[in-house]
Amino acid sequence: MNGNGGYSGETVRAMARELYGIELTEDRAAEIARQAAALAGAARRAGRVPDFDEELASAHRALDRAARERPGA
Amino acid sequence: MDITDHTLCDLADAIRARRVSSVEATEATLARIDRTQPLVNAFISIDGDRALDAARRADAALSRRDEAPPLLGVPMAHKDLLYRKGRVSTCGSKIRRDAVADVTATALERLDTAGAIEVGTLNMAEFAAGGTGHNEHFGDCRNPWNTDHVPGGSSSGSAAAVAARMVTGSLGSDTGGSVRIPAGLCGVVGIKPTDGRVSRHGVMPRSWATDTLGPMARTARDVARTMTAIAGFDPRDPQSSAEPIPDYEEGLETSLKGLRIGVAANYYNEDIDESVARGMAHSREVFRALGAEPVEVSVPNPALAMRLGQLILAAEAAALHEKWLAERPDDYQVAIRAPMEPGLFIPATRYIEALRLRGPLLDEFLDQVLDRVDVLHIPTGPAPAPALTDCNPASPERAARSMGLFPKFTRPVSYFGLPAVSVPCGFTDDGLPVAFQLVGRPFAEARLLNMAHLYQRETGWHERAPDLPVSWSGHM
Repeated sequence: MNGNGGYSGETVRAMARELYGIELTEDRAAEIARQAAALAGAARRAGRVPDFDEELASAHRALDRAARERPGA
Repeated sequence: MDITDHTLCDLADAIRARRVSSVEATEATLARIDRTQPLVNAFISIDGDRALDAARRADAALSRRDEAPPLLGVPMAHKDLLYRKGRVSTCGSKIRRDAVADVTATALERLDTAGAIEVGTLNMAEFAAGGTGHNEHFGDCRNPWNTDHVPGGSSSGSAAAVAARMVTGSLGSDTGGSVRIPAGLCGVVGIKPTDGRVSRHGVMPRSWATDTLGPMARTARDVARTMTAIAGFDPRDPQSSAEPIPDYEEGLETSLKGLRIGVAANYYNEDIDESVARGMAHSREVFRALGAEPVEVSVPNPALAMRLGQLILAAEAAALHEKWLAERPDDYQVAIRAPMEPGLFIPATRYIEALRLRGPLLDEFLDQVLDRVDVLHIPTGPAPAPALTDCNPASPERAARSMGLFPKFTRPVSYFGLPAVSVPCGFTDDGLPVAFQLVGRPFAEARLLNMAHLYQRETGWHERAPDLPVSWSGHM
């Protein structure tokens, strides 16, 4: 992994071949690595780590809870 | 008045009152489509014979009884990603060009129960993955207000067909703005419901976490009637909500007196076209005159929610398309495939973080914004529809310049799962529509439609029609 929370171009190229059966040029792999790192970095840059007990479906729980606690006006 | 000039509710009520038959309405609709399709390209398929058969059945049913379901005999059409068993759903793609569905979407089943008729399937961005309406496989969809301009996407045909009066109502899907953006750019009303409010069963997925399905029509009343028909719990959609649904049409006349309407003091008032700013200011005054109180609110930076939404979308879309990306890469438009590929290389830990942060960040947004005001009033997009040539996906840098700011206004709402309705609020000097959106608390669709309805009653932007060839000359 590179410092941004994504994979390097070299790793992306190897993963593409090994995991997905996709052949990428070096340039394209580097570009995809850059874009994937930018996306993945968003979660890192959120500046907060979810609580250990937070559930994966928390958004839906939050929506249902808000519907009860904060009526839709 | 031409039959196709009627709104969805007016037409439904006219059919129920036997002032017009469903066959007459369907024939007028098909004639209008015949004349307008070459200009707008809103349809992928048109099935006139099937529609007319259904219209004859609707008329026969009405002749046997006094009561009729709310949309009996009304011609509609929907984005070509809603499956109907035995029919091809292309999803706007070459890859699915011959894919015959083996289920029928819950939303279509519910519209069938409500008596609606389907005249065809509507154009869309390939796999719902583009914001403009460009489509190499089925031809670009065009904006009826100026066919040199884009209709927006990904539900391009759903908005364009309603704006062009080819149909009175349609369904689209919205994962990051795909109902609201085209509705705004084409001057029609479109709603993105709360996550779980409308079943996605039988709809091609793009992102399991953030996909929603919503109607478009010329009026908020039309959208309300369609929502009442399609909303509600469905055990076949794992994210379906059991929250009770109201009759959305019943609450349309509720007074806005004392309602607090949030005016963004930051982010959503930046980088917007003068025509949009004018529409926003005018609509705010209309709401004030209706008794609502504009309240300035500071909104959280939308960049984080936008990026996290993009992360989830990229990872889920890549998972859905993995097989075809490997086996049939050349059957995608390059501009659709290229942004999808990075999603294959997002670490699972980052994807899970983005999902887990939805709840806490939603709570923050509710605390900071929707606890202080009842709704948030922001532009649907920063500008009117760009020209087709200015945002051709084949020139991604140019496209980013003209459409790149739109997701800031729509994607954070999708990440939070909140409801939002886009409402036309004026035109540019060149005759292109501009729109605002109202963002509400979870499951507040009734309030959003109530506000949209009262706004339309006071203004009348929705009564304007684009200057396209006149259709069949039948009169009601």
